[in-house]
Amino acid sequence: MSLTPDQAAQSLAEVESTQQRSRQAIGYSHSSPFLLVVGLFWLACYGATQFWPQHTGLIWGWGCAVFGAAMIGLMLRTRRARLDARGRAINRNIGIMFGIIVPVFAIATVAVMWPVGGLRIGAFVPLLYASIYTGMGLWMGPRYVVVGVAVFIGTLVGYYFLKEYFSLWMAVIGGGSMLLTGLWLRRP
Amino acid sequence: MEQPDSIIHQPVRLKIMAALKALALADQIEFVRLKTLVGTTEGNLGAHITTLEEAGYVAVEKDFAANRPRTRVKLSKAGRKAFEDYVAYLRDIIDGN
Repeated sequence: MSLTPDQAAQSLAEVESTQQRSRQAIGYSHSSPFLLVVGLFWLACYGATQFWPQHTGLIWGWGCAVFGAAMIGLMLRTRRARLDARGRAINRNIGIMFGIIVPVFAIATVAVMWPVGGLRIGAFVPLLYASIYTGMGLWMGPRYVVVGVAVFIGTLVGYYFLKEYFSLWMAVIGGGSMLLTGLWLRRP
Repeated sequence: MEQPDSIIHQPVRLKIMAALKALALADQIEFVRLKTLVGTTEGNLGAHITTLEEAGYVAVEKDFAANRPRTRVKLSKAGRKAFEDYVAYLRDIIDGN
């Protein structure tokens, strides 16, 4: 039952390929709840902004507080889950990136560029998230690229062609894309 | 290792072990996800998992999630060791040892 070097190399390549797919699959399932939270956040805040534009500051202020709390909750839940050290590190880093680093960067950039209109801020943040997801996808799996490109294009279409309904558009396209992708990442 | 481990040597079982090894010790993977990763049928996967379970290489846990039956599989310590030995065996052949 001995193998030739070629057969052994082929078996080893198969092993490495399967392990790569396995890591990608577990990465998808770990990041799924985070995308669902981002999707719900966008759906609620952009949707409310469309219908109550006079309360935009209040909507996004409370929205960001709830979003931050949800991210922290997910990270704490991860600490209790039966994940290995690598899984916990992935979840913690995703939470820190999307719950802290990206929002702080977005707020700092808007502050530097101020004065900026609400529409531009509303387009800038999704474009930033979409770019990060697309970049992540190059290492972590093509499903992130799909959502990144979809949100990026959707945001530009809304910004240039649907200014009057931009918030509603982003609630449906941005929030909807994130929610659908979050569900998609849970699938085998 | 003079002869390869005959349990892991089978190609589908080798893929199953490789997929589980990537998850590390405490992690489990659902049967349906494993089926996609290995690229085989449900019946075939079930038969090979039974073989691996009988050898003590994997642990199978069955429960209900959202009122639906769920089967999860993880690598045992013995399975992890056997897989690492098998990969070392492959590397030795490639290196000509």
